[in-house]
Amino acid sequence: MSSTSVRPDPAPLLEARGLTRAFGAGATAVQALRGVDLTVGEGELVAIMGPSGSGKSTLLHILGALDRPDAGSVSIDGRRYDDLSDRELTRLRGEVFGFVFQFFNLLPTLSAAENVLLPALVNGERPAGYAARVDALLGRVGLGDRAAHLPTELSGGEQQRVAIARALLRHPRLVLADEPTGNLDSKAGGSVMRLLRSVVDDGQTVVMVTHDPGAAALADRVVFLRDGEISGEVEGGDTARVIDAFREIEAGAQPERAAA
Amino acid sequence: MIASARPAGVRLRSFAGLGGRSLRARPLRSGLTAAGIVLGVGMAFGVLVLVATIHSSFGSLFNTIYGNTDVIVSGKASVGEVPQRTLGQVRRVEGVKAASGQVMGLFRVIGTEGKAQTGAAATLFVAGTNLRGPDTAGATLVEGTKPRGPRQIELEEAWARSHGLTRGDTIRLATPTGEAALLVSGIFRFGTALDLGGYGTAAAPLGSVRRMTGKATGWDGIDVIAASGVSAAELSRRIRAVVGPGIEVATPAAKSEEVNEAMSSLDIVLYFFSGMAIFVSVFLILNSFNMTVLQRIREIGTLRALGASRRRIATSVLGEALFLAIPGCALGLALGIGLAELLAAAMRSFFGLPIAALDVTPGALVAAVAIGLLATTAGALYPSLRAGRIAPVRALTGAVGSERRPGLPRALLGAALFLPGMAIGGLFWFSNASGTTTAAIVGVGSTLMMFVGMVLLAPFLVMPLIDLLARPVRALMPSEGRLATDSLRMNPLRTSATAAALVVTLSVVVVNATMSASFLGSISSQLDAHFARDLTVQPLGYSSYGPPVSAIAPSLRRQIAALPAVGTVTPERIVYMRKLPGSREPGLLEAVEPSRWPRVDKSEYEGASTAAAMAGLGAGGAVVGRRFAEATGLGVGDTVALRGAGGVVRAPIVATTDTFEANGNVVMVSLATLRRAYGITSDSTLALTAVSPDRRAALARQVGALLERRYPGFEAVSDAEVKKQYESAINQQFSFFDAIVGIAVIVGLLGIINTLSMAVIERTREIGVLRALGGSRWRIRRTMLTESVLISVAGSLVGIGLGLLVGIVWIISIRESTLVGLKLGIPTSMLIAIAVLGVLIGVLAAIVPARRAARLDPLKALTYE
Repeated sequence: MSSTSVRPDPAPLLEARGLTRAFGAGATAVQALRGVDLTVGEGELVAIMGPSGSGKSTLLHILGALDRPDAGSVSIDGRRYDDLSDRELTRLRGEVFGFVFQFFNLLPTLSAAENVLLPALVNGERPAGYAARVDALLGRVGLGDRAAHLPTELSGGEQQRVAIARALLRHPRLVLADEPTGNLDSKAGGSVMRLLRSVVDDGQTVVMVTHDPGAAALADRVVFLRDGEISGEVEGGDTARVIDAFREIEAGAQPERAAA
Repeated sequence: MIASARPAGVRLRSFAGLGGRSLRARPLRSGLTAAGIVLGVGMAFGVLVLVATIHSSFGSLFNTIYGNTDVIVSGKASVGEVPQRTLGQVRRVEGVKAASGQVMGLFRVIGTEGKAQTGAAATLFVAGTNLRGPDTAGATLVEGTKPRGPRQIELEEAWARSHGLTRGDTIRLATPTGEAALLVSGIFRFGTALDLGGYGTAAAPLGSVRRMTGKATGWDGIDVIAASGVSAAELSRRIRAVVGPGIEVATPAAKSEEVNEAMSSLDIVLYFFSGMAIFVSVFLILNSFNMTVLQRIREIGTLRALGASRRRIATSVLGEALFLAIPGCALGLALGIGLAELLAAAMRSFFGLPIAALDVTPGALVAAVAIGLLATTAGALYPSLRAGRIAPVRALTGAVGSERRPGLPRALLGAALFLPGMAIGGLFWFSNASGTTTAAIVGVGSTLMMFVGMVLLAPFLVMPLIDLLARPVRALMPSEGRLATDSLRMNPLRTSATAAALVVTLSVVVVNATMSASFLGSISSQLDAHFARDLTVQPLGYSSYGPPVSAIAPSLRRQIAALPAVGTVTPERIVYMRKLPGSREPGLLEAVEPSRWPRVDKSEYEGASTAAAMAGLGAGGAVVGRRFAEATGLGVGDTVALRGAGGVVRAPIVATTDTFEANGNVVMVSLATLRRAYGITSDSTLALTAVSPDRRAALARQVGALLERRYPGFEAVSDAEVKKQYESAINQQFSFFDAIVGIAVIVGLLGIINTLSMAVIERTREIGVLRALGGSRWRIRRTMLTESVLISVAGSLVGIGLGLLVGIVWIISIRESTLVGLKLGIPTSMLIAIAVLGVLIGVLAAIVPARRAARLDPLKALTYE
């Protein structure tokens, strides 16, 4: 796949510096992030991998304006959003981010097309202006003929593709995906990953958290997280390389930085 | 692109449409929630319509009957008669255009089988007046002629029509002096439409009514028409100056106002029950939406992650609730009309009130809808805000953590509301203070407070009880019992919210039952302690608080006295007064023959021996009930001033007595004193003894025969029957409330079904695991049933316990002030029935959820997230 080639010096879209986040207090406190730095360039597909409890979900929450860090900064297009109010974060989520969830999180009472349209509705817009966009997105994810189907009438892979279409509706600057293949069989997972890859090839930036080395291998970069800290990074493209790097991380060793 | 074009597969128009979808996706819960709104609005609207109807009934009653009348002259406090000479005095007052004296008769229609009928529709008020005189009623003759001879009568059009009577027919009436057959000479119509709730009105020549009622002289009222240019107020003042202080002079408007005021404490009671219904419906909505929000945490988190603001989420949930309120209010209005009809019918038959056809005002309509919307908002507000506070991270993590346990602050607040509410509520409901509007409001407020406290305290009583019940249940059904009890304990708030609905409704029933059992038991033993008579003769349908009945004419007493088996016959004349002389409280003025009374009544007197007390009565004195003495501070040696048409009669108090009548608010005088003060000469009841104990059967036979032959409007009853009549009178008053309580029980049932369904949905995955592990449908069903019955048994027991506690505290707190010798009565059989009802509710409530749980596809349930 030609897309695995690294873009030279991508413009920085997202920048996180020294993110820390703890949950609970006293003896039961858990330090989920201990100073994470991360830069994501425009048009990149970055995968975040790590064992359970490594803090990767917390990182995704903070990157996606779902949660705030205790310390550190995070900015998109040079605008900081780690210290915004709930109201401003809400606006940011609606306008700047798109989300794809492990359990799809489609509204069971809405048709596929209505689910795709949801971000517009949530932000107070009328459906009329989005007719062409919804049609195009459903076509793009290969579900042009399923617009009126309810989630229960779709397979898991199809539901996740609806979710991807939904994430893209309002042209977000960044799409965040939480284990997008985690609830799918390998065939459906593969097709969802190929869809994400092609979306990135069209210019969309995506950050995803995953357990699946096969999925991570389709990323431009794979960032490893362990005990709340970045413990390494490899270039995507090769499943075997990603697996090796992941094993080393699991074993506690610092992986060799892959040469560009 | 045209503005209305929507993308293919999209039918939503805006975000607001989501709420509708979500409601339709959960039809059972939506229906149950709407049912809560329906009941709240229904009760509110029904009561508003009923209250408006009651008041307009009396308003139109006076306006209609006194169509042309400017001033009404009557006995003081509407009691007693106006002397014959007063008519002449009034006529001579300057500014009086005309004055017409009236004698009223209350007669019963005799049916085809020759028996006098009871009930409002068979009751005819006949005005005896000079028919050639001025028309004070403003009635028009629509058919036939005015009655000319002594055996003629004219009837009001609507009543005549409903009885199939027309000009030329003969109507047979039971009158105080015996049966009368009268020719219908004509049909008249009042100036405005009149609906007396079935009661009939008629007019007959004065002499004829005097003869039929046995009232030879005096007037029941004088209707006055003012000369032009003289105001009613001015004329009232002039007449008052002439007739003296013992006679009441009022305008028809003032009269109807007076009656409306007397009805206002009933209004408060009705408002209380609608307040209860609204409270329960708010509770139901709160419960249901709390569950919805809990269940949709991931969905709401997703919306938040997609950029929905807190406010948008909160408004959306609130909007969902208000969307339900639309059909809820509409159906509630329909239900309200039905309820109002039902309650109006109950009031006509239980209290004999002349309630007209329902008066549905736009104000009541608007108010009921506003109440429905407010109740919905109040119920959905907390769940909405809670939904808005759901963090967007919940889109990924779903619901986390276990449910909060109810804490100490809740227990303290519950106790702080429950205890004072319980301590003072009873005083206002049952004591003599309950007559005033302020007292009623305090009573209603403290009782509602008590119930809110009950809901807050419910978890602390229900959960330990469930722990206790869990043991035998687990021993009996190891696996189902374990699953059911664990689920109940895991969610203490859900469990107690479900049970709370039952606790509140059943405790109301238990309080009601305890109070009525106590009153009945006490009155029954009081009757035994006082009655020494063999037989009582009374008008059909008589009860001291009941519907108006005819009086007994002297002729009947004379004829009974002449019967061979009769030893003693002595009358009792009882007058209900809205304010007893010298007191602010309502009660009974009772007159007896001092020489004969001890032969039929073995009451004991304080402050004097029976003989001395009777001698005192004979000398113009009075014996007063204990409550009267307490309320007025008057005792033996003081005097009671009776101000009637006959002037002021001062009666020295010679003794006090314990009596259950009117809670002890009684003033007893001799027949002579009563006549001197108020001019009253007709008997209310007659007490009889046989010449000798072995002639008792003969006495009953002879009196019965006389009444059947000559006086079909009267009956002879034994002491046992009198007791039964008291019982049924009390039962009727309580069952009026029971009818309303029944509605609350239905709401309780809805609440349980609702929360149990939630429990199934919440545990879909768990049920899937059970099914996957080989649990049969029957086993799942049994688990749900066990859970439901456990909740309802715990709820019923707590409800019965709290209800008994409240009942006992209320009886103790009112014992002194209400009914002398009031003893606590435990309605054992009723309690058992209530416990059985509780279990039945549990089983009923489990049917739908259990079916649903059993039918879950194990595969789908397992993948349900």
